[in-house]
Amino acid sequence: MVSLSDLVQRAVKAALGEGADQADALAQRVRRVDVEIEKNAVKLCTTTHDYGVSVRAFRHGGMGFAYTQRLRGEEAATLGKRAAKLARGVHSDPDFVTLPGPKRASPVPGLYHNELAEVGVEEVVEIATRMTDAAKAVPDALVTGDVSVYSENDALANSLGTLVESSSTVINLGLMGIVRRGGDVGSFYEWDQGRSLRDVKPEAVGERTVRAAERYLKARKVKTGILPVVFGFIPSFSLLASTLAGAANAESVQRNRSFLADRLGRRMASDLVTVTDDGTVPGGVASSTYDGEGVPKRLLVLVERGVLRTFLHDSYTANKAGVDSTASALRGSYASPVGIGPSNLQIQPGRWKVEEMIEDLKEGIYFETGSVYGDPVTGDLSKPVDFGFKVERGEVAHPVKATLIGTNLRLLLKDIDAVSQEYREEPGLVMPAVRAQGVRVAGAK
Amino acid sequence: MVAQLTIRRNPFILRLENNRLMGVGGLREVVERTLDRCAGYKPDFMDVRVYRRLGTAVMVQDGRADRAFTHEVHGAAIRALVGGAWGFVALNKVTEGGLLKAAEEAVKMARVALRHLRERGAVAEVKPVEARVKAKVKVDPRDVPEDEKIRDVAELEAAARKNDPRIVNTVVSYSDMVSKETVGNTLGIYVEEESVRTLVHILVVAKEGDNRQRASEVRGGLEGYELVKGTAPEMFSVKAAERAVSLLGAEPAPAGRFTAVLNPAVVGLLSHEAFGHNCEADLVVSGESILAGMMGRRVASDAVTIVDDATVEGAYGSYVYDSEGVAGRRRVLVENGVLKSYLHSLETAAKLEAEPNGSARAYTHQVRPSVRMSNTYIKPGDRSFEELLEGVKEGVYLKGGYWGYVYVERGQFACNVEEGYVIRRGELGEHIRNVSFGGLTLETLKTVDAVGKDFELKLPGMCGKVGPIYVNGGGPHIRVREVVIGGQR
Repeated sequence: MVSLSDLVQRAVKAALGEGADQADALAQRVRRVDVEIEKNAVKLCTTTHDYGVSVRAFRHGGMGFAYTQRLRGEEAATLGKRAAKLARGVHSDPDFVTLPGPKRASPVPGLYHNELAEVGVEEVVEIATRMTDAAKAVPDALVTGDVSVYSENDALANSLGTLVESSSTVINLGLMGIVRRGGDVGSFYEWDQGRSLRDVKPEAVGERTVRAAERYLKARKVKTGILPVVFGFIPSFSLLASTLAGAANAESVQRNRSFLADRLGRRMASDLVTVTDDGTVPGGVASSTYDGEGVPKRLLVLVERGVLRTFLHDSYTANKAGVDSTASALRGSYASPVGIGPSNLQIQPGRWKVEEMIEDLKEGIYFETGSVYGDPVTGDLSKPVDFGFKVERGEVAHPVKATLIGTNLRLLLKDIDAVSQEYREEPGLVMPAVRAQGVRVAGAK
Repeated sequence: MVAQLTIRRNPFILRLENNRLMGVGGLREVVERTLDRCAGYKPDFMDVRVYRRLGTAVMVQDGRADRAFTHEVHGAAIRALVGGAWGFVALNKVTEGGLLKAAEEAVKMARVALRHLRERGAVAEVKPVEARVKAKVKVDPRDVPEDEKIRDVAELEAAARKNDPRIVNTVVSYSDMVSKETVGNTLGIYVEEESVRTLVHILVVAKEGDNRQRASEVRGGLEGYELVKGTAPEMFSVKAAERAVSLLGAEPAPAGRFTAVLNPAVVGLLSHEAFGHNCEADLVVSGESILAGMMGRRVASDAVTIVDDATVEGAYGSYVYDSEGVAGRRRVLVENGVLKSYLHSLETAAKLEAEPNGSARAYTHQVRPSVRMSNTYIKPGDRSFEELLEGVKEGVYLKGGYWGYVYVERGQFACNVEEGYVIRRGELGEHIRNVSFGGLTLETLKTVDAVGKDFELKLPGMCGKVGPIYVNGGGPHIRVREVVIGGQR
């Protein structure tokens, strides 16, 4: 069998032979084992063998991108030619300068574990079963979910001599718990992830899911008004991660479609907010030695005491702006062209206890879990409180339903008045809770 | 009409007509031999699916068509139901030896699941079918040279920029996909279906001071390149550009509970999110859907009839056979407010003792078929738009669907819309910006009190449940008495 490195080098060479000025290629081989849970038991076991190769070819800056799911040597060469011919047919892009040259970095450890790369379906079933057994803590709870294990080998090469090989493993657990009692329903979603078996705790996921689902019984509607909102660990992380991935993306900034476009070096959030992005955390869920273009990952300070310190760049946007790449080029897989995004985001914990952030409120909302994202162009945010509670006189009073929040990220981020000292940690990620004052909450009249 | 081969004009786009695998005989023989060779494992059911897709795309941004894309997806998947447990294996290598090995692995997967099984899986009995479906297109996108696509897409993009100096970013994305799915199973089904889909999308961003607003338009169909040829810039690019500029002067939406008049795209989003997902019978079988046990009961006001129709000619969510080889059809989910039907796969039909209705779909071979919607809409009524506005003392008119989602176990949904207008005493008032509305399915649909007589399918796009799938949605304008608007004032 041809090695992945041979394939990508062959593809790049073929692209140059067909008239490309520069080219890069990515080849991947992925094995995925997945066990699905339905009605508290294993329902289905799957294995997916995925592989493919993609080529980006540039000619006068114009780009042709091609991918295929065939991994034979001659296919790689055909693919390289196909990408180059596309590049020859498109308009030129004077903003394109060059792909990155080869750079050496010490490998980030802990991203690959044999135990997951060679995992048998029986072991994955055992993890799923440990999760469903723990969910018996609430005997009438119904759980649905899955456990998936990925093992991936990649090779990336470009026409400037970059050649990077990497291997990684990932395990994901997800569980939805539903408790139905007397016409009422409570539900909750939990997850866990990591690079090795040691990173995940199936029993904790199982029990947390059903105990939390039980707490969401007897949900009530709330009155429309302006209230402080305590965003739990996941909503806080989602809020900051989606804002930075969307609006601090240099491509969006340079194309004038980001509400943060003129915020570099200026305040974008309250001075309690400091966010770093570290793609080099050993064993981090979003770690890698190099980014999607072969640039070594490094520690970035994105937001420092509320001030936006850098946009996220790949080589194209960095060259266009005359700065160094932040090694933020992302490739979801061989099938996606290069995008831009953060890796392991770490929100600096603050001084508050979550309990105190709630106790401090006469009336408010505790948005315990779910996603929070605004529009990266306008900054407008209009989103249901997926899983949250009404807070009254400093105490969690009852879960809420049919309740939405509406605000603009420019205001919301500056209105953050507390960051918690406790945080949820997933390998590489640090997720404290934050509180913002003055959020419009929509519900009943 | 099926377009002819023109390899000379476009040498980089491979063709789909070669069904031969690296084995003896045609694809059908290979699929049948694979199933026959696995008979010894005594599966309750087994299917083989071979999938191939070729696609091209062009992106034009701010006056430059400097990105072009092409892809080839090719692989196979095997499902095995053994002793009531499911195994599934997908691979990108389509050889007879590879298929047999994958089939054996799928049996092994099922046997592992069997050791932990609580509730036996099953499939409904269906009559054997043999069918070969060719795509109906006027202009096969494979026959259109790349430079022609670039020229046409660039023209659409240029029309948006001419509109106003406040327009700061314009992006037009074009894509076409030619796919062929072959399904063979132990029930005697053998179906090959070719489909061609094209889509064109525009995003326009306008800016004034710190205020940025965006607007978009999308056109997509189960059709060929004629979709692009039939896209008039003034109804597409110019419309998006004018809306983006107009939104610069719009107010933030109000917050709270309001009566809302929804346009066809928003009705499509509401039908899909608030209701359609709850009708997917796999979520009924798993005990998640709020519609479990509700068949024949009132779930909406009697003004509401909801249909999911896979047979709408040329619609983005249409298909002839699903990924289990069962014919897609028109399914009335709700008739005059009463729940009439779920969407079924072979498995859910067996479990709920219903007739399979061809709703099991998979995006590629790498995803197992699961119950999905096609084109979901509310059936038109008899009211004019003015009649819908009449009698609204204070409310909102919401237009253009962006995104939505639902927690089916609670029936709690959210729909995000592009823009709207305040309604006061039956008249349209100030323009309002992008906002979400939400509510509880069974409450909200019971407050639909008037349904318009117009109709449009206006939401071609991808639904993401178990992997993406092509869908569309729409309906007439409708009036809903109570929704919660997540506005800012």
